[in-house]
Amino acid sequence: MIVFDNKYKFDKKDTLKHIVLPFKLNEDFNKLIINFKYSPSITPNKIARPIINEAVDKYIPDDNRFKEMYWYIDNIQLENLITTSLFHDGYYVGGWHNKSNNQKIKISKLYSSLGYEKHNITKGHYKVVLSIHSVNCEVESSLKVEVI
Amino acid sequence: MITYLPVELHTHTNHSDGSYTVTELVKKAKKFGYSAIFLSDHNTISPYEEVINKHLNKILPVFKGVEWTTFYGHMVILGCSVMSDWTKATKDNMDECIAEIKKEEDVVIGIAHPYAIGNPICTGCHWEFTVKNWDNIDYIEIYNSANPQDVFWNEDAYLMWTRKINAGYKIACTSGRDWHRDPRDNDNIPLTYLGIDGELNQTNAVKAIKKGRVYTSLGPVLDIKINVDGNEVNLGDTIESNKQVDINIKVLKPVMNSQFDIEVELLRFYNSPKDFMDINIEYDDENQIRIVSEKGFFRFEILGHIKNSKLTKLVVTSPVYVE
Repeated sequence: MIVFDNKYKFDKKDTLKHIVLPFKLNEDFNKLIINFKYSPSITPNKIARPIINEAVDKYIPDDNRFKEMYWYIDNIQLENLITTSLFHDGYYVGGWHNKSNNQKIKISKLYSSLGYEKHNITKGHYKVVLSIHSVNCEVESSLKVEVI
Repeated sequence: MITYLPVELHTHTNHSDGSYTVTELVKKAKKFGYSAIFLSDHNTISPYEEVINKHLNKILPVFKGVEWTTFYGHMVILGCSVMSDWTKATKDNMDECIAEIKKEEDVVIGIAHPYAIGNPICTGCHWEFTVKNWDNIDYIEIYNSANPQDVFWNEDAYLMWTRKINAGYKIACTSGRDWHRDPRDNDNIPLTYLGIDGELNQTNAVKAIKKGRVYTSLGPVLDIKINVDGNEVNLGDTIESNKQVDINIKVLKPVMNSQFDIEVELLRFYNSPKDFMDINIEYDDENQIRIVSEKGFFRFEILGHIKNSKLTKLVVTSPVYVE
């Protein structure tokens, strides 16, 4: 059963937000599957550069700037990072804080994907949370949650 | 009897963004020479299930922890069996979050890399939370990452820690390897030594941090004996003022990071927040200090040279507090 299958567009103004997607299961299931994708995972350089420069000014002290600045400007990529978490009746089942932008997560009593505890998918109130740690350009994403 | 042992407090596996499986991490930790490690994956305690199912504690003691990786700071919680809701953390409610965490379990809470580069390059890596009650914070990472002596944000973390202990808070100083992947050949790793009373287990490791029996080192090992009125005193203890304190401190050659040429030069003894004295030292010298305890604290640093860093802090101990 597909719980929801949605597409989302995020941009810079969505950074530092948790998108909470609640749903209710009226019966028990064997497995819950979350498919979450987003793109691009790396902010294009033209957009990233001024953001990186601003962060360098903000966080790197003047007396270290010469040594550190050029490394950051030359080497760093500005990543977009969105992670998933799952709650069941207020209990935190888990989350995968990983830079993978194509996550296929399975949760069940006998097996769960990395980051998630093994968990019985019984009836109750659930929420999937998309945590937008950093989005610096237009990002398209899709989230599909299904139970089997 | 207190024995100081190297325990890594800050590690990651593929249950978050680490490169290693849990098994790989534990085997590498054993090979590196740790006496134990805490698991501290980002926002999950799921890796510990593998420790149990695969009996990884037979290779090396592995203890439970997590790194709350929020939008406004990274906070390591050690000794936890449950994972609370990190998504509710805001800039202004960290005291409430910590109170709720500590109500549930006997854990210690540390601030990871408080002055690292933050949003949007590394979200939450720079500590932006308002903490009203610093008594709830058990430790601050003053050394984070490989080659910490070269990482600019660590000096600010050290200064943050000294500001807090100077203000009267009892907060331990630690290192955090923040171990995600294999180091490069020339990387030196910061070490945390915990003063374990009895068996090395999670309870005693957490207790060591809570009591402040901690020092951080880039390699040298401390043999330190503190005596007040015939009683043994340890780092993190609180003693009365106007007492005669006899200190015997020996700096031993590194056991870990021994591939690097690490020279000790000075024992810096802080007898108060601002006053210190420097004593020239060499490895294995017995150094004796006698003081009359003054209200505040006393603590130790060993300064010396490692790779291209001259006269850098090789060892920093948590204080002995004086009331």
